[in-house]
Amino acid sequence: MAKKRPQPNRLKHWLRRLLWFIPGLLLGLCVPWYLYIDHVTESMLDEQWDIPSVIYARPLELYLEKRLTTSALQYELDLLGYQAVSGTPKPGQYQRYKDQFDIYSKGFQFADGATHSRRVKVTIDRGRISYLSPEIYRLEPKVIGQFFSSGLESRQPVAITSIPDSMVQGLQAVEDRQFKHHHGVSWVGILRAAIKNLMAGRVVQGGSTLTQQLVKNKLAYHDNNLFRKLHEALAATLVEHKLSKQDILQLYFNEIYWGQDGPVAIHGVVEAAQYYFAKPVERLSIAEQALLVGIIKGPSWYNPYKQPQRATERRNLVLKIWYDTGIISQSLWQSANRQPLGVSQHRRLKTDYEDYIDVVKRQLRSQFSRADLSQKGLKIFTFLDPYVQFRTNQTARQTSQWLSEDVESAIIVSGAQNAQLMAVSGSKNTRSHYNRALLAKRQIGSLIKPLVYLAALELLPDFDLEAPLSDTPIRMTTDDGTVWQPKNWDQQSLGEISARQALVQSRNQATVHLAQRIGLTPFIRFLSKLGLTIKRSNHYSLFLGATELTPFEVHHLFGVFASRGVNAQVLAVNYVTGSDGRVLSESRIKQNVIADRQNIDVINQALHETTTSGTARKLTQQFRIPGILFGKTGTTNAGRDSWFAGFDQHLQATVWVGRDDNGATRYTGSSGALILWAHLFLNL
Amino acid sequence: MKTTLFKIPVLILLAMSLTHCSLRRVDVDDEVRQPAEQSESVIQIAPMAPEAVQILVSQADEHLKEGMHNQALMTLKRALDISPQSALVQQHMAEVYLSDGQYQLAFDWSSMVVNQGPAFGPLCERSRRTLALAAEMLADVETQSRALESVAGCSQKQAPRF
Repeated sequence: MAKKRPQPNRLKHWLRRLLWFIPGLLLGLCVPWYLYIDHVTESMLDEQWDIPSVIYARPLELYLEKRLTTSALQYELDLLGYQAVSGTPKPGQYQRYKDQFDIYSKGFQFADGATHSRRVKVTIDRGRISYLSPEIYRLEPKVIGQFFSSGLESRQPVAITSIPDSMVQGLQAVEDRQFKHHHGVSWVGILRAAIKNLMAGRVVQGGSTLTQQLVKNKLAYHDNNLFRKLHEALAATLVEHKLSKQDILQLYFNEIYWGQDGPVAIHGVVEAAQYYFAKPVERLSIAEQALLVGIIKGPSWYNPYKQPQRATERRNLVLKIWYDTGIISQSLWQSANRQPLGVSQHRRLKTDYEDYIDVVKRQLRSQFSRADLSQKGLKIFTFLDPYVQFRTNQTARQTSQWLSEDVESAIIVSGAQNAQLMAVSGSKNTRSHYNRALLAKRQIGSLIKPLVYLAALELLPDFDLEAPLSDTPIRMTTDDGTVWQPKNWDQQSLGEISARQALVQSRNQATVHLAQRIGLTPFIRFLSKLGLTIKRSNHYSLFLGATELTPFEVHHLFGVFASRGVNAQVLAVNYVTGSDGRVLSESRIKQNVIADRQNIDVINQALHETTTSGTARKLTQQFRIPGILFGKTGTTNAGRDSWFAGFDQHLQATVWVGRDDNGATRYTGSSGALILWAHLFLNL
Repeated sequence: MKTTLFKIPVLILLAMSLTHCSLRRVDVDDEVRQPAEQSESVIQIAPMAPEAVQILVSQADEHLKEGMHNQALMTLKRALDISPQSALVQQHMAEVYLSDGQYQLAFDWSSMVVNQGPAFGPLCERSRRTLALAAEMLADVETQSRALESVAGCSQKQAPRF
């Protein structure tokens, strides 16, 4: 008979098994978990942010005899964030006395070398620099835009040393007072939050440290279950082990989510300062710093645009904490408390440079991929002139005032001799994102006439502008049997006139008589030399501008006259460097001479007469714009399109005015587009 | 057989001259600037430009001496922004491209100076020499010979006195 084993032995056996099983279970689960979190934190810290490419305006080059007004220089300095002071300026400041400027520049690393921070003294006399020390100097260029990553995160990393101390200390006072002492997790904080939440019966306080918040933000957790909390706590402890407190704070300021600008997520303090206050972070006031620190808790709940009352209360609470903890003085607390939120009102409006950046994008498309532009931190240097852009925008915004509510406008400005694109406005309305300068294909009307007469000079052996033309009614039958009888704008026919008079007075009938001598096919071939592709056209109305072009294309065509016969592409991008400053791409100035300079000069003489005695005489007789001007008006049927393209020795500008629905207006080229052109040139 | 014997040396010579072209680097100082600086023309044209242009051109020359072609080009572009039609700057652009082996660009820029720049003096001579050298490197014999022929036209010699 088998002996029965005693019970205690069996129990012992199971206990021994359990003793092996529990550590085994812990080892089997916890070690892989720890390794996983270690890997996650490691990759989190090694993560390379997508650095958006930055687009710069042209740097303002200062040299003796440069054309520059005091208002243009003042505008540039203010735009670059220089502070006006009454005493000796320090870096980033300037002192102005009448027409004299004493600037302490900030310096900039250009691709061809560094421009060092130094004192620059400038005197302006009658619109020109009359004194300059040193002999030549470049101010740093203004940042006009960025290319974001596909994740649409807007972020510019900043060193902790560039963030105001009050903000760095203030963040700890509000979010995590034990930050300097804990190792990632504050058990006291968790206990305190748990008691408060228990007493309130709902979640009123969180116990997360700054490090835990950083981990949560990095790992993008959205649920708050116990396992996640444990996960977060372990990761935070590991981060504390791997980074110094200062590094953690820097990472926090660069990483934390600060709100949403449409589809773009605002990450980091630099972008937040720019988005909410349109300022660099170093120049935030105490009240502004407090608002930014306050809204971290809930960027949409405390959204200062949608919930200004709630945001103000939150800001004031933060200010109170800062005062209580000795970060700010009583007087500072009281004055900051009284200030309005002061958030920038321009955030949802199109920026002043958006229309220009559309051209930049087009020109970069063939050279750089979207990923390159959004991730590699390229520096794109353009020809945009911020002051000319500002004046162009101002002019466009006045379209309704100077003309009428029902019309829109588009304006393009470039250098007259070098086709460098200085400014673009695609609408009179800051809320309109439709860039008419680039996209609106409109009939060009009489703007084509200078090209018709240039073609005649180039193609007809015995033709000059003194040749007689017949400004008499003409009747032509097209291939489909339609009868075409062009009329003049004044419904009159002048009889025999010179070609010059026909061009200056924009006579349609005389131009069509000339067109018959040129011929449609040779004319189309001539236009193609200028880079203008005309779709199959078998109608002589092409000679009167019955072809659709965008204002940008028109501007390019008129560049032939401004540059005296050179067909140069209008360029927005000067050059592109990598983040290390190495030039990756530069604009190649390709200049094809497409017409005899003598012929161009003859046409230019007529374009000048147009501005003194022809259809654009308002410029000199009414607006009294100084200098020698050249230009041509253009009008299409029933005033659907009003054009003016013109230039002086320095600038070339093209203006279009019309309705988006292509409806009739009461404007001709000289009563519509020319008015905007004149105001623009008067203000530059 | 005779034709083949004739063809082989011609091909070898052609290959050698092409190899020479591809290996050759133009010395701008020796081949373009110095002969022009000794111009004996009685008409000497130095086009007007703001002082800043001259400063930048000198800076670009310094960069070029140090072999920093990119910096030289960027500096010249600054000068060109100040004075877009300056034949002096355009000629320097052509010379930088020539010494950098970018012959098509050297050709384009020197053509611009030949067509629109001064008709007498050192700049006139330099532009034609640059064009001739760029054309040679691009195997454009016709332009090369035309440019070399026109160098003489840049000098307006003093009429002999009797």
